[in-house]
Amino acid sequence: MLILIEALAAASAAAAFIHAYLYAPLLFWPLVSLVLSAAVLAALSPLAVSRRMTFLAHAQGHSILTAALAAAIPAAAVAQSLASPLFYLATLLFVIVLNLLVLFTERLGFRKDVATGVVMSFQLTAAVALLYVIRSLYATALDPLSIITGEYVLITSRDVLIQAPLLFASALFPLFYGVKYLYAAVDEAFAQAVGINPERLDMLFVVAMSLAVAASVYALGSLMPAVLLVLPGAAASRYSHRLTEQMPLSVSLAVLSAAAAHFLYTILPWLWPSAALGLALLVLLVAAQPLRNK
Amino acid sequence: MSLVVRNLWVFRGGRAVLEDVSFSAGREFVLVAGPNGAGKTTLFLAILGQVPHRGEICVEGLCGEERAAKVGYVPQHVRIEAEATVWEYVYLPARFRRVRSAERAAEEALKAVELYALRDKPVTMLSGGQRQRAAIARALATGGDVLLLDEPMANVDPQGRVELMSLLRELKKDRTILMTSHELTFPSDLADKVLLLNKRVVAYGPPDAVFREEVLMKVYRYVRIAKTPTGFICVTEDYAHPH
Repeated sequence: MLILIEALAAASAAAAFIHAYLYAPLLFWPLVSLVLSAAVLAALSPLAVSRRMTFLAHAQGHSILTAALAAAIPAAAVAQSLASPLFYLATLLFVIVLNLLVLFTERLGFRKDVATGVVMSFQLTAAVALLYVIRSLYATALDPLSIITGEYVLITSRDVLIQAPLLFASALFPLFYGVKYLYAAVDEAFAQAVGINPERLDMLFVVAMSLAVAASVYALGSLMPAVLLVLPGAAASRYSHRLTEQMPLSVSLAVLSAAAAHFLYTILPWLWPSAALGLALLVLLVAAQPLRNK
Repeated sequence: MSLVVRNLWVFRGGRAVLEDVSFSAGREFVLVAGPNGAGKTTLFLAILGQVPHRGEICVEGLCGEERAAKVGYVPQHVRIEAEATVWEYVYLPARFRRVRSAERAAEEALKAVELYALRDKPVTMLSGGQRQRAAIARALATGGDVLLLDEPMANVDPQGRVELMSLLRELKKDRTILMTSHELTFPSDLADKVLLLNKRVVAYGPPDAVFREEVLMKVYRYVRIAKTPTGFICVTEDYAHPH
């Protein structure tokens, strides 16, 4: 099953890239950005699903919105766009701080879900306040909707060059610690006995997740990264019960969905690519159910 | 001696959890008994180097942190929270620990516990007894010279217990096995020694010498012992506050 899905993902991605390059050149770099973002977020997804961090992953939608709004203000103040390195770095900084705030709140004695909920509540409050600040001070320079939906069609090779190092840094965690982290989800007590430190890995995972989300916000907007942190991993667990197949399956399903999203967007231009990507992933998740029941 | 523990002290929150514990074991089966809070699990974690301690612990002559590589461990609660196959469950920790020929070690361990045929099954689909056997296979693959089994009979049905006992009889032939047990009802051919613990060593010796009312009464509030042809049946009740 893994090889079949991997081959399908590779073929569909190649077809989408060739189609974009030859017939829709304006969509080529956006597609590169979409595939890269989807692949890295999907590599992290089984880790979030297995470690029961999907709630935290979904909280990314809130934290990235708040962080992007907070980062947009200094960027607008110095007349920089949402594609500027200043915006990326400020977003990244705010996302890491907000995510670590969840772990900090947990250490105050709250359960993980309550800690996440408390920080999400703070983030929503801050998001409303920041939206009003942007509307009051920078209404002509910034469109807050673009922070929510992303600026897919405006993505250029320069944006991909800014995004790629952050995505690469994020991908290092699943590459080097992914299997160990997944095993810590299987049996945390024993993982500790063989020298794995789940708490330290939790911290690194949150940083990796923040990097990937911050890097994806320009292409996917502030809400869709959370979807990509949950659906590919959830779908992968339907296709295979092998721990070592979860990450490659999840990445393949996300790449397959990104390619499908590209074709859907060219056929139905009113269907925004990140939304099309989410739809494709939902279809793949539902399609796996008969396999699961076998 | 395979395992030597000398003057072991463990403190938690400023209080001694283990006080001056000393004992040694060769290739034999040691039942570690004692009431709740006696420090049985803490003793295992100290042997594994997982808790800060004072004193000396040596496994097969290795007294530093490297001794952990010689110790296989079956935790008290074998909770399986995410999916993996039986093979991955046993093989991956051996790989993480950089066991030489990890694949062969996992294969042999699974054959020893008679789960090799089920290696591609999700570990979550195993019965309670099979899960304990898988956990023992994992301990064998990752270390194995000294096996620490923390309450392995808990949550296992009677048939599973019989199978586990039979497996342990085989394994003890060429290993040091320390097993904690809350219950003291035990087949006499399995345990070579009993370590009665209540923060410190209350008694250590053959079952006949330790499973005596006057010895157990030092730790338990209520004790009744019956010796049967196959072993001991001990009915005990913990003190509300262990000494």
